[in-house]
Amino acid sequence: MTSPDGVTGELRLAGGKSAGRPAEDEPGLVARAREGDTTALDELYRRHRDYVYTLCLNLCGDREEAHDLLQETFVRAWRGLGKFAGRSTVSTWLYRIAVNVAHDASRRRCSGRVPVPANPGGDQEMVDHVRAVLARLRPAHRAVLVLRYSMSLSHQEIAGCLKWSVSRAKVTLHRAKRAFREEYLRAADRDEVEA
Amino acid sequence: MKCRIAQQGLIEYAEDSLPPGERADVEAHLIVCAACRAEVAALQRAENALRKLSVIEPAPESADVLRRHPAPRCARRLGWAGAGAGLAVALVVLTLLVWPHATTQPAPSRSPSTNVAMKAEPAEPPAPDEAAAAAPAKSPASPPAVVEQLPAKSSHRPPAPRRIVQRQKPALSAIPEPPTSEPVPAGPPLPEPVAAHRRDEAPAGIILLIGESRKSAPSSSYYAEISFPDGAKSVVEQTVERDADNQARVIRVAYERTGPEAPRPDQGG
Repeated sequence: MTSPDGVTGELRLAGGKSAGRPAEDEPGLVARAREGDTTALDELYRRHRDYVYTLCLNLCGDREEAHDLLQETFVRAWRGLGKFAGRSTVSTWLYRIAVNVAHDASRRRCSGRVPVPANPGGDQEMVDHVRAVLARLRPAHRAVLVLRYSMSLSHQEIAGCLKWSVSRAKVTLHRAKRAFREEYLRAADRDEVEA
Repeated sequence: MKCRIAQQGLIEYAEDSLPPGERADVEAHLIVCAACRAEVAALQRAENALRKLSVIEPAPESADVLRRHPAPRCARRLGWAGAGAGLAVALVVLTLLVWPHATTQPAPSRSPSTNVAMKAEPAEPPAPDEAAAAAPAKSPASPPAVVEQLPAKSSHRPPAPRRIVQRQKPALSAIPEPPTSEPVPAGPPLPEPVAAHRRDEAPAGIILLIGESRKSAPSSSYYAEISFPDGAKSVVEQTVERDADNQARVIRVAYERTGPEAPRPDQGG
């Protein structure tokens, strides 16, 4: 994926996936950002915003709300920058904040079930359909599925992101896949009945 | 292979993450089992659907998010690393509000609010060494301070019991020590800085936690939890507001004390 500013897959790299951007950039940026260097903040935001936005979008299923969650995530991150110890990557840290922000928002929202769009045709419709199905899952299942399939995190990274043990991440992901499959098939059955 | 055994690996088979040996076993089972084939087909459909999430969508432009929330500067100045000034303020507030009676000095130079707080304390005899120093400041209407229950901090005070420090955070080691000062003599008011003066008079409480309880620009709230050898605990919260020049100003202070025979400032003798 290439973001509008030409940054390609940087956050994925920041999560320790592969090379492409010098890994030592990130601690330096964080150190400068801690000192109040706004250019470092801008750079961190520019690198991570698309991925955090996608994570939020997949967690909440709504673009407008995802935008709000994105902003809230970065505001919380900037405020907590002094507490960021550097034990995890910046991306993992941001993902953790985003998951918490999305979880808080879903608890505040207290709305009913999200209707699943019927008969997904194109890719975008298919993605929206998947997001609607995800919205019907438990927050923990939704979070692990999005971190796994959207952010391509390993079991270990998911565990670090959610402050779980690796075995808990594996078990939850396994259960989440089954829950998703059941909900997904249920939605497909509904479509067939309505058709 | 039986269905029950095969199904344990169907998810991994559907996402193509089974080791080759086990994969061959599952494939052999799938040839003869229609139910498991249907299960795998459903799993693969769900797997393919989830893989659609890997598309990263560009975020809407919102560069002003950084300018509207200049929080890192707050974090830098008031975070753990730079908590010295904030902690000094917190300690002053703690001393003023929670143990003002521990002060055994005549207080002509103190603020009126301090004097009011000093008068509103329950009665209990002070320690002998402090009673002499406290004598000039006492009035018939104001009871003696609870020195035994909340002993004043001094250069010869005994160390706090070890059990109290169980939850003490290592970050507190970064807190700068106040300048050492001689034991406060009785007599006329001292020209010392307020922070050092109050810190010197603080009782032997142990700070268990210091943290941020709320942060919403332009104000932030911080709290400190203190434990005492007698089992009492106090929590003090202060709210700091930042003005246009980003200068911090304490706008609200609240405290709560729990524990055995917790004295209340409004319960004067």
